[in-house]
Amino acid sequence: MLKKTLISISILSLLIFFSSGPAAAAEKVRIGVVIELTGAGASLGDYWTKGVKYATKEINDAGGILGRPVEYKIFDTQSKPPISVSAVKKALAWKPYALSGPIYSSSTLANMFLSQEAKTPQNVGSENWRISTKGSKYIWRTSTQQGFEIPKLLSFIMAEKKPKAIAMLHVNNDYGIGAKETTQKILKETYNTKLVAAMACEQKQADYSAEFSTLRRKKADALFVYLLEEEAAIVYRQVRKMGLKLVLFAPNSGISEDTLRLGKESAEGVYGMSGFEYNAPEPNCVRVSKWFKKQYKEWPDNEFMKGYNSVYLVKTGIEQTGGFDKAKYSQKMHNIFITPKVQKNICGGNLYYDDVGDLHAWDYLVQVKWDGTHAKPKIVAALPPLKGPDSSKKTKWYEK
Amino acid sequence: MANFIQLLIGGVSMGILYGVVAIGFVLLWQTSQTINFGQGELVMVPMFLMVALHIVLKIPFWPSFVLTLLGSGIMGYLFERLMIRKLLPGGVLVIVIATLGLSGFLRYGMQIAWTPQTLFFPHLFSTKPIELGDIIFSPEDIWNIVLISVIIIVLHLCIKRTKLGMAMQAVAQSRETAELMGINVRHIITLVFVLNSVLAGTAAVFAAPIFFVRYDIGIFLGVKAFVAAIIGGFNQIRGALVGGLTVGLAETFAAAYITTAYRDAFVMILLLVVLLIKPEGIVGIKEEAY
Amino acid sequence: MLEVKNLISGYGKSEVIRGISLEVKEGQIVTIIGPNGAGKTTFFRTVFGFLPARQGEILFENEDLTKYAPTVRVQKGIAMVPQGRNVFPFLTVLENLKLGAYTRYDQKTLQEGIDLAYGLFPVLKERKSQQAGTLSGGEQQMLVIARALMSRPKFLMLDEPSLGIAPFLIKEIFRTIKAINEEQKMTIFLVEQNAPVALRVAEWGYVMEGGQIHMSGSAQELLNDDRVKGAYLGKKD
Ligand SMILES: Nc1ncnc2c1ncn2[C@@H]1O[C@H](COP(=O)(O)OP(=O)(O)O)[C@@H](O)[C@H]1O
Ligand SMILES: [Mg+2]
Repeated sequence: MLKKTLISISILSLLIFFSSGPAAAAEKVRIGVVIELTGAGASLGDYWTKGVKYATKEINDAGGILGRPVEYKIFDTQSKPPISVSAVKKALAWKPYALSGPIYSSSTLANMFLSQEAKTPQNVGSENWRISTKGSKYIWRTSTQQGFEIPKLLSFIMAEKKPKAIAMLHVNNDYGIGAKETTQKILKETYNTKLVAAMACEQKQADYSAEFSTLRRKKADALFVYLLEEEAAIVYRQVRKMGLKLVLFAPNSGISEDTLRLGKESAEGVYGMSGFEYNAPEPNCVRVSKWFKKQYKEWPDNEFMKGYNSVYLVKTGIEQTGGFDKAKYSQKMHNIFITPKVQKNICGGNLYYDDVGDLHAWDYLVQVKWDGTHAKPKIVAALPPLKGPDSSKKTKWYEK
Repeated sequence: MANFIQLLIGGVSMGILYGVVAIGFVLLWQTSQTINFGQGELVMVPMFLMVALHIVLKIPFWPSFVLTLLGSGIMGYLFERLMIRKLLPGGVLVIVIATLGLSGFLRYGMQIAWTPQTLFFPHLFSTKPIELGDIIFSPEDIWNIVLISVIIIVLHLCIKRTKLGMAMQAVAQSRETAELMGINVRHIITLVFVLNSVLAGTAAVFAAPIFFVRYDIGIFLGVKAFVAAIIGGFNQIRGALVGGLTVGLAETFAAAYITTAYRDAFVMILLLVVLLIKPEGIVGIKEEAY
Repeated sequence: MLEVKNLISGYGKSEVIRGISLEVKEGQIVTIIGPNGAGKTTFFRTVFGFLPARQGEILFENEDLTKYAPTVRVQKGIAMVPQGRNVFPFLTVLENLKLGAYTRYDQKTLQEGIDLAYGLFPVLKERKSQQAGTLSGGEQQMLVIARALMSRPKFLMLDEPSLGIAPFLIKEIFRTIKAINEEQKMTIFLVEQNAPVALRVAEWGYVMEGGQIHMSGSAQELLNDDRVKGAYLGKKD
């Protein structure tokens, strides 16, 4: 009898302890982190989550947002679009001020209508161009979308490398297919040429003999590797292994730390675009990367900076609004130019958000160099954004 | 022609890897009527073991390889003794559910205990391509094909020629008659689980430089091997190999001559066709024949 | 050599063998006859260990076997030819024979056993590289008997060797069984529905019905018994 009572009491006290939320929670700025915690994107999700965690700690140590501490809770999408939908539903049921994530474009495209309906800001890590065509006033990107990244990359490759036949490998999902469409459009409209081959690849694919036979047949001399991190690294290795002579170029995912850690010397010479890379010549990127390196003994992937910024964007919006009204937040965060003066800790220097939540920032054109132990992206040039106050600025060459 | 040979090598080097994992499936099915849905994880865990030994602890390749196989064998032993033996009387469905559970446990266990990241693994062989006319060989592909073939041939000879191998065949064909011969069926089943794990461990070492090492690689390899075993024939070791090669070649040729986007779909269509036309698999034997 | 005391066994809830006691003397051929469904196979499977004994003792050379697994019983010198032709269908005749000697795999005994098998059943030699599943029914039965002899048993149990086999082959098989008993000095325990054939080779017989022994006596006595004649020898002879 005594035992039973004791158990009941302890359960009751536990319940009270855990449900003591409401009163306190109203005082907190809740962020629902809807992210690839497991599944194919788990590695990226892990970096993102670490970014959220670090930013939260920094903000709370400095007194929170307008005096309220930030609190976040993680909801796993399992890297699958349908599950991301239920994850967002669960996150919204928790009554957050804003959402952070996901990274996968297919997931964002599937779940973004929910944040729009709930009028809750959602800062995503996705780059598919369609996201900004859906008319949501509650979606912001934390990186440059493929529609802006690809033209910048192509303009460099076409001008400096003058390839005769460009082929493309892309991942067989919204992210990769979106990139293929963008690339074809730009090549046709701007350069009056086209891809000699565009080949969809599966995740975890390790044998590229079919793709390579096509490359040889079409006499391709440049290959646009638009794959996820792991597959990009595998392709670099296979290209070297089969002795193919190609100019390799890739988006952010193809030169990110996660890719280069795996690709090692086979990534040597790959050209790519990078926004918030750990070695970007921008003080905040450098600062948070150094912290990461100290904490986790390795350099962070750019998803870390993106996750970090996803929290600082919320801080910026609330501070700009001067309160917690989400509709006003949405208004303030469009056509906004965020400079270090506006938000001193945010990564990436001057960030411009246009009227559809697209980010326009400086991107860095890099080439991978192998130093005998590490493959590192070396900055070749800084390319100005296509829109916003900085768009009139000139390309800065670091090395030519 | 050169192109064809090139594709052939690519397809075979993948297919033989699927085949080795599929052989384990078939061995288990034959001797103990178990379908192990944790088969892919039996490849994944040794991959991490290999990373731990060879990369983290910097033990040279061959000792690491031997230790990895040893570890795999122990894992197979424990798998059978602690789990399968208790569940076997419950029938196939219980085993399927239990092995599915185990596979999830190992996968997410590895993710949480070690890392969600993909880990690097170096090439085992020279990466300098060899050019032969129009054809370019990668030593890695050729070595993989040769070494795995040797392993399969040795395995085949062991099963055909040794006493234990004969006992394994006997158990596969009729448990009770095997017992009649004085064969300790339980020991043989344990042995087959150990053998299966060691095969999977071998596949792991060859697969690591190609796929890198990641906690969820097991799903991919497990599904491929399972499909290979069904296509080739679940009750024949030959079937597993034929199935593996069929899947590898079908993927590569479908990608080259149809479209890369549907390489997986093509394998699934092949699976359906085989199931409709010859449900026992390409070289499988109808179960009624037993 | 074998002494069974008060044996009870069965499947699930049903009790098939309901208190059987019998004895098989060394060097003899002893048979159990009885109608289909009497429990003869069940009894044999219990003696060999495929089914657990629920009660009673199975003494083999004065040692109780009930605690041993079938494999151990093989090592003690017992071999069984089960009902139906249990060859390994995808192995050759020779491989089947070799597996029979699994518990004694030295080359010399192996070769002796194979020679003996070929001597008893010459057709097996002709077919030695053929898959056992492709043999005729009679040939498979011969193979199974020969394979049982490969372990050099002291005690051979045969469950209905005549089942589904052509009459002229039945004679040959029983002639061989008698020969094995006489030349190898092997004790043979035989279960048969075909009572006349069994009683003609046996020295002692038991009649089993409904899981119990109803009658026992020398084979000669049983052959001449009116009840046995009526029930089991009636139609033929
Ligand atoms: N596997 C089994 N499960 C349940 N009952 C069985 C099984 N095998 C036999 N029986 C039953 O046991 C009884 C004896 O069968 P059996 O020993 O095969 O007789 P016999 O060999 O004398 O023809 C029969 O009633 C039969 O239906
Ligand atoms: Mg019977």
